[in-house]
Amino acid sequence: MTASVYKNSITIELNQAKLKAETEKNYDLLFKILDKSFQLINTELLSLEEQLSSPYYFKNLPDIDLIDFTINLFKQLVIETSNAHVKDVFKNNKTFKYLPIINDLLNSAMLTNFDKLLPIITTLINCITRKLNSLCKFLFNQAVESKKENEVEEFQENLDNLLNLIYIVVKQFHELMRCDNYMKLSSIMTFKKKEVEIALLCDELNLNDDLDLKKKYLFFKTQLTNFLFNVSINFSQGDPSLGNHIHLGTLVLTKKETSYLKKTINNLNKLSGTIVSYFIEVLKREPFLVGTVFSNVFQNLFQVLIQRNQFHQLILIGVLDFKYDKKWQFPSNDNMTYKVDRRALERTWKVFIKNIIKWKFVTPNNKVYNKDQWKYINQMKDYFQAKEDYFKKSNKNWRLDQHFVPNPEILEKFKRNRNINNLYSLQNNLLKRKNNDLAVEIDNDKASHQNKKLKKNNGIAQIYSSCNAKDQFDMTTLDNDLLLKICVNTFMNDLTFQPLLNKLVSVSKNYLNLNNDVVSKNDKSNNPYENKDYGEDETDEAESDNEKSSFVSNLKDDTKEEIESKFAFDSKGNIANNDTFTLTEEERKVQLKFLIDNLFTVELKTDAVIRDIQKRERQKKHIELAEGETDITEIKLLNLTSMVGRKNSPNVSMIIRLCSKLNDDSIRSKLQQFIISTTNEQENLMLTVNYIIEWMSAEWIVNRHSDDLKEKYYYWLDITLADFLLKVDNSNKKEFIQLFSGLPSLNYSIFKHHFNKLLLDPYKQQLGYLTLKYLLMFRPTVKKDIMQFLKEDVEELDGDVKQQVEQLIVKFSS
Amino acid sequence: MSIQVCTVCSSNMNRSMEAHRVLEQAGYKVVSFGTGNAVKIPGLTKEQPNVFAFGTPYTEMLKALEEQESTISPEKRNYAKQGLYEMLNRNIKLKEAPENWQSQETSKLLHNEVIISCDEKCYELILEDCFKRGRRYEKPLLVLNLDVEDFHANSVDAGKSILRLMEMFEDLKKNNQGLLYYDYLDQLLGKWQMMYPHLPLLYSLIWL
Repeated sequence: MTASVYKNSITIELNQAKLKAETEKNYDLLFKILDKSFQLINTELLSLEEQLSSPYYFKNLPDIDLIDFTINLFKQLVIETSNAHVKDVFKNNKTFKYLPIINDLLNSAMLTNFDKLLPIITTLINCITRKLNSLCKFLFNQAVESKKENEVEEFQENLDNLLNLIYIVVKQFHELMRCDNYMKLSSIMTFKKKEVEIALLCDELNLNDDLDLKKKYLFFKTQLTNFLFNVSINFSQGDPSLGNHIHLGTLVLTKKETSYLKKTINNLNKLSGTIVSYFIEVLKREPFLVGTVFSNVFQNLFQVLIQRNQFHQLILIGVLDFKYDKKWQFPSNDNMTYKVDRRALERTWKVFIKNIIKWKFVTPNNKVYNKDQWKYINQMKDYFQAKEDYFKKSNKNWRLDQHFVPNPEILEKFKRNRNINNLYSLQNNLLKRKNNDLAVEIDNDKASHQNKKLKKNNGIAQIYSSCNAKDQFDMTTLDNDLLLKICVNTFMNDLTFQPLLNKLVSVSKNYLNLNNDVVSKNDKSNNPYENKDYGEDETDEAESDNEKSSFVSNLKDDTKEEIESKFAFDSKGNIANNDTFTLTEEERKVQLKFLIDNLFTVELKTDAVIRDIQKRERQKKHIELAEGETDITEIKLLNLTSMVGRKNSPNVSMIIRLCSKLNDDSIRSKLQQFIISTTNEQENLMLTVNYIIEWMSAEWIVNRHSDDLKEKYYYWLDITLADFLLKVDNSNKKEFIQLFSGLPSLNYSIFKHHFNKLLLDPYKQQLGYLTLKYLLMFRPTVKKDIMQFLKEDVEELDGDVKQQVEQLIVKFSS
Repeated sequence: MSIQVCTVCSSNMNRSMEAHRVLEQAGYKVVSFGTGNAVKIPGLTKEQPNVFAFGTPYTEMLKALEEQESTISPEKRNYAKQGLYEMLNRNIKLKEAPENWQSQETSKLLHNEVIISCDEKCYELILEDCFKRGRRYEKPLLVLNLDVEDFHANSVDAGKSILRLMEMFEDLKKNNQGLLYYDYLDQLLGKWQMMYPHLPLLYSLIWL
């Protein structure tokens, strides 16, 4: 209470000083006030973690009023003031000075109080976006003019701070759009020097939370997009003849660069390209219709097209894969909202295509597109034109939910109707064709000896064709992680579980029937095993069909009730008895256990495969190096697999959460074994630590309210720690401290059981001692338990560690 | 009413001016523009429409039309039946002369929060013009489009629906703090579209 009153009084004082300085037009004083307020924010941002140089880049947030005051003053002085007293160089110098604090602020904003801070950080991002051009100019001039070593250092520091800002913004956009579901950030767009804690603004396991986050903060997301595209324009070379080239271009032309500068410029150019392709990927791979963000990306891409020739090909080829009509509707949006959104996006897409042709960014002769792509572009343009004309001419009957299906008779009026028809079929039958291709391909493998007609009509093709591909989303574009998440979510959801199960049963029944040659008369024409000419005996067959169907109908009437009581399906294959598929709570738990069990198996298999690949690749690499050969692709693959090995797998995170919700000890036991088994090599120790923290946190959240369940948490923690201690020694201080600072709850018995052994083992006693010291310093809630344990056990110890522990007791008893 | 609105049609004569009138009467601060090359209104025959440059006062146009009709017999006079005099008299009360969108300074356009265009062609021209202008000020503009046919009666109907749209927009802003109202904008537009399905809607958030 006292602290907050104190903070408020500081803000009030600063504000009064500001008002006085404004009246006197005293800009020196105003900048001093701005310095002071940034300094105050910085002081408050410094936290214990920072003092400890912990790997986490997270700080506690200062008072929101103070931040609000500071950012508004920053906007007023640095962005809006323009007079002889406040020159651009001065403002840029100040901005670079404030950048580290701004970075800390933005980074911490994602972790706490995001909603409250949103208006402030929106203003902040807007200010920096407006200032970016000037900042880059200043930075590159600094690079050109830097002659002394300290000036180069200053340039490097400023550049690092600016890059950090970019990484933070990328991370924020990535998280707010939940892009992790379908793509990973390129390494060039991530922090090198500091590790950023993963911000969780939603429950990863819950698909609805994911979708809500995608839909939220749209204005802020457009701001982030604008900022990043501004970066890509300002960090890349322009064409000097256009007069819009950036200072980086000037630098290349005028400066006799050192290799360091050359390297920096290349990196910045690369970063620009990566940002552009990142957004193109978002357009292509984001499965949901986030119209505002998509439209904004198109507007920004057009600005890049205008100003940067080198990205033309990247953009123009990339956007061809964007499918505006294949984006999903958010479940919480009604149909009309989706239709309005889709229509608006379609129009933006059309204007984009129309303008790139109108502005001659692409012509049939400039070889940006090959012949086929160019044909597609033209067809797209014609399609939009025809659609527009069609609706205008039939305005009276126009309804929003009306699909545009070009009717050949109407299209005769348009000169290019042939192209339009082609495009229509291209767009709407893409998935259907894919399925058919797949079916034929499978058949080719299985029965290459059979004739062509038979291949097209085989059983698998029949099942595929029974799925109506029209208007369906192309699931093959989805990432496996996202698919898994959707599946688990569907499985857990009462509304979707039952229909899903019914459909699966129905499909498997059809499949079995096909394989057993039990094909109904209606489907006989598609029977792959009847290789006959359909033109012959058609009438006879129809008559015989009628007879059969009336027989079946009579039979059905007679025995309907009997069938319904005995079987899940009636004679037509429809579900007759829903109760057969209804599961009790217990049965659902069994199903879930089965699912989790399988997930473990899959995950372990994947792990085994990755390890196997790593091993084989290493062996291969050794052999090839010995032979004097290097294969870049294989080295890349090796890097990729080792990267996969070190990172937390989202699948495991999901399994961990499911396990905690399930509250089943046999599953827990499997999970515990799985987590411990991930540490086969020392480099994976951190992975295990992360998994243990994640698991224990999930257990604690579920079990903390009841004493019995708390015991369960301590029981599993105890077992896990016992296994984990076997894998560590004095060299694993970082991982061990991280584990103990991340565990949600510790008690006396944990210290008694595990630290006693640690302190007595000469290879592990420093690890135990330093961890206890850390906990005493920075985790006051466990101080009492640790002191009790130390006082009881100090006599058992000997040597240096005994002295150290005694000092510790003296120091922390006071 | 805290929102400044800009209405746009092809000639800044009929649809945008009717919306201008309705919104201004409701208390909004309104400006209006046309995106065409010139102001076109019907002439004595279909083949000879009246074409004026943007900036020609409405009073001069009225005078020109009256002069034209004075040269022909009363039974052939159609301007009053077509509602042209009524339209021009309405416009004279609202502002001096039609203005062109493309020739406005960006900073002036940015005083508006919402742009309402009344024709899909105008909407596309607005978007294209914004592309050309680039992003100098980093300020947002919400561009909405309702496809209204260019007849006097249609524009009167459309004016009322535009007013409803703005009222709903204002409510949305009131009920959502800061800039979070953008998150619910699509739902609002969907709701509005349900009420006026004959006026197909388009929207885009653009930055200048």
